[in-house]
Amino acid sequence: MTFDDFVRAELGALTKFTGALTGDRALAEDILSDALLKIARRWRRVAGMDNPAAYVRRTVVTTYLSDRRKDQRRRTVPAGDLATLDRPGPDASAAVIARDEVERLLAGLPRQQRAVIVLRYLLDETDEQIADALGCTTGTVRSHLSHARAALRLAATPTPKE
Amino acid sequence: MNVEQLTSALTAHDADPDAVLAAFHAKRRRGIRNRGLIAGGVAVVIVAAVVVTLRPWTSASSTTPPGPANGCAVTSLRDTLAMARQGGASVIVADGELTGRTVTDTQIYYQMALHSVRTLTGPAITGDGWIAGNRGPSGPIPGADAGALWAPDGGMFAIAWPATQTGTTVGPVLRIAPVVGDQVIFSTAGCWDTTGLPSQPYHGNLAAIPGSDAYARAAPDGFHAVPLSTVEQLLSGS
Repeated sequence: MTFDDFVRAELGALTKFTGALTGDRALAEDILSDALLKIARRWRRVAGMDNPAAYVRRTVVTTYLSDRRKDQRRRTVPAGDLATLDRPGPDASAAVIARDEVERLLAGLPRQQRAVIVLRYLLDETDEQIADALGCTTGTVRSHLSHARAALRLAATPTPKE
Repeated sequence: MNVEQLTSALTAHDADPDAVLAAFHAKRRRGIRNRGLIAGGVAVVIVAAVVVTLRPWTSASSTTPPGPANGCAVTSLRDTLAMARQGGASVIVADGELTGRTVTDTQIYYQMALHSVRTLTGPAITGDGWIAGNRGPSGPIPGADAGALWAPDGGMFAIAWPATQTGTTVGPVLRIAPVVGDQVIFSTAGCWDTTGLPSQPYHGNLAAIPGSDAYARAAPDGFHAVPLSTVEQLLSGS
């Protein structure tokens, strides 16, 4: 499989994954293009792996986690009056409020914890797979997961992989 | 929050595949261009180093046994002085002081104001001279010798090559060695070779172009103090 074939086949899933990881479309596009650049340079080796897609996701995660310095440069600070978002409006609905709350809680997670949440709840990965993707121990994964759930006030409904 | 709300929120920020591909291709093109520029820069530095090494004044003045490791060819002091005389250079003893002015040619030249000049041979030298730092705009020139050193009080022995001989935009270009008391301190800074001459090891302070690290680079091959009178005898016999 060539690199172009791989990108054609996996780009849809990767854009979803990176979007979930970053919570920001523009940042996701930047992170994913950076990760693909790294993969393209070593494609011959990656193509020979059992699961190239998993390796690419891992590269996306490490690119995202190591992107803090660049992120500081890239991010803009909203200049608008954020308080307006909290004022009641005629179209407010419980769903929108609930969604905003989820987004706010997700945005408050440290990157490692967010990555663990995405890998577990979006890709349904095991502790071992997550540990491999993040380059840490399964104990650390469980710790991140526990803290993230608490921060998200996530209902304690264990996933099948737990 | 329940898992459905979570997964719904996580999938709300999908990146645009077309934008990802556009960014990827743009970054790849930029990377290729940058690598080309870096390769070009390295090539320029290498060419500059080769040009400096092959220039008549440099090869004429190259000496010292340590050989390629310190960027010096092997030419004895006697032969170096003979070539200077025959090539129209002046040999002087003077006090030098950096003026702070530099000119970038194939490498960076530092202007040195000369005082109390005593011309031992060749055309009289007055005013200023230029010393080579063996550095280009991007840093030290690979393969070049240790650079230039002179005495902390400015004392120096020098072969002054006119610009017509060096092909540089500035001149005279000075190949210098420190003069401390009545001793000339030879080392690989200037590619001096004192093999066969009576000398004593020298361990005192010396001055260098700020940031050039010339002292540290020359130190491994040692500093050799040769009486100025011995050098003058060599010069008169050359």
